[in-house]
Amino acid sequence: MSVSYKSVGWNGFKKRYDLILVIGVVLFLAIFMAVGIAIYPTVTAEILLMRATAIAAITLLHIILLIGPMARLNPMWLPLLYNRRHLGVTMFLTAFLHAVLAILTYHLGGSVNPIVSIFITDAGANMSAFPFQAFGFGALMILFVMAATSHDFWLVNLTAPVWKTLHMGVYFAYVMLVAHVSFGFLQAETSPVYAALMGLGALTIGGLHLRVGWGQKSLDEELQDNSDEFVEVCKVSDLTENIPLGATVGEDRVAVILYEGDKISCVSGVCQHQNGPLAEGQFKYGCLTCPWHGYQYRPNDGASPDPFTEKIPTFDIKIADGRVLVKRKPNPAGTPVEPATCNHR
Amino acid sequence: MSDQKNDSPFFIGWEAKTPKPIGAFLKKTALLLLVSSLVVAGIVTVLQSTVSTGRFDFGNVQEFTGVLIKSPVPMLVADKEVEGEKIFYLVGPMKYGFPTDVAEKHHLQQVTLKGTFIGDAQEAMIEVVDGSVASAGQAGANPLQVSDLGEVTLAGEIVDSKCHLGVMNPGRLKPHRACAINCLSGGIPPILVAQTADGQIAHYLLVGKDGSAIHDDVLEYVAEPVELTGALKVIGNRKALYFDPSTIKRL
Repeated sequence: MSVSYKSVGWNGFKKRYDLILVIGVVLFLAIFMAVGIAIYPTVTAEILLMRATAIAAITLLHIILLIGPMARLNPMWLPLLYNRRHLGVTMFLTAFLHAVLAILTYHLGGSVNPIVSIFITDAGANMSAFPFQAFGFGALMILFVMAATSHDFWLVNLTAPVWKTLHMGVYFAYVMLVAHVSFGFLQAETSPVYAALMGLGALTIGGLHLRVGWGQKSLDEELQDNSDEFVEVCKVSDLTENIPLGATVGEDRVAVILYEGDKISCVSGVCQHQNGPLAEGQFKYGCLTCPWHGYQYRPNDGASPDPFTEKIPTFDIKIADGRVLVKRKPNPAGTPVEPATCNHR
Repeated sequence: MSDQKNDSPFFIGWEAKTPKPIGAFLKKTALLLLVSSLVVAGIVTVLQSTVSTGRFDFGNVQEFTGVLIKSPVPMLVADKEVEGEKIFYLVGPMKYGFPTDVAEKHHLQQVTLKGTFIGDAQEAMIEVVDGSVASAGQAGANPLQVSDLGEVTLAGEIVDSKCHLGVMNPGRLKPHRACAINCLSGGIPPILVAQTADGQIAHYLLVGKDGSAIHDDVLEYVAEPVELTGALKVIGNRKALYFDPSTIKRL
């Protein structure tokens, strides 16, 4: 038995993306260290680097979590999402370096196993001794699993829904890291600016996700109560050629697409690759194209063009009195469906 | 969710070229994110307030000579000043205190030893190289005078002396709590870091009511604001608080 997955294509865009990322992280650490040593010449270098890597990692995590909702609200952000996994792996490596430095500095060299020390020196009876190291350790474990399974090999083997669920762990990791910072660093460095930065970051991330989630919820609820076999998803006049329209039919998100002048098809709105929002893509090169990573599906049968093998479910479709009607029950992935035709506008 | 139009630019990662409007937007956004991140780096660095004046001359092993004293904690009264100091607390490498059997063996003897200087503006310490203590004369009288200043109540933070005096800087408060607990468990003497009425930082060596060394009894209070009551004594020019650890109050 074998599996098929595509190796990372190091195209020019990805190379530029990664170059800027590496320059950004190196500059961040260099500025933190240089300014720190200049202002505090007696500071311990490993503690300064420990702090630099921590702040760099959590800043990167905020950028990573910012990209998702921003790309939903403004497609111009989509290129930043295209290579976001490299951001994630870089963030994990930076956080890992922070953890290694913390273990070497604070936990190694005594009579207790350094890993055990993380937990037995962490428990406390009140706020000033409230555990914070365990939160950091837990978050690092989640980030490790995500980084280790970030390649498409794992995406194919685990299947997109499982992979996606696994990678939603980033939100648990984020909450744990906010606790790690709040009960750790912020208990020592008491400048209100630190707390303000952390609060602003959490509010921004939380607010943007709520905003996007609210919009998706409205879409999901749109057609939930209709029990007819064919349900109306929109009017023909609502469609723009080559731009899919998203809707929910029963429990399925769908993408309705007007293409090649007068053809209208309906396919699943969920990309097989990473469950990306196909209804936010475009019709390009004869295919409905996912906005996240450019995966493509023919509107009439939901199949990717050769030599690719991805398939998504299709939906029977018809036009009546200028209304676009879609059958509630999806066809198996890759099933050809005759497009409806219309005299558009 | 977004409102696309028929002529909206569309990015496909595997295409050779990025549409111009998206490319221009990306340049601005990437620059904004980069500059914002670097500003965060600068702000977070500048606002750190817990770095002290302590230092650790890592890699610079020196020879010291003087009288070794075993209690209330191992100390060396040096024959001559080193870095402006004559009284040094003695500790072992890593997170361990000075071996009690060595302190017992050489108590009040003239000795030579090799070690690394640790210290801040108030106190100094030597991280002694294992096996480097050698007798250089017979035992004599204790060169340190002890004066009793009566009962006092002090508020501050319990830390391990080795890290706070310079091995780790910052070497106190919550992020350093685990390290302090490991160091104190390993036999490094605790000190109380307190603020005086005029805003200066003062150190008080913490010892048991009967003058015995204390370690495990204070672990649960490390890095917390606490209040201690006991007898304040000056040993040479070092301040020490003799107190009962069971009377520690959390603030």
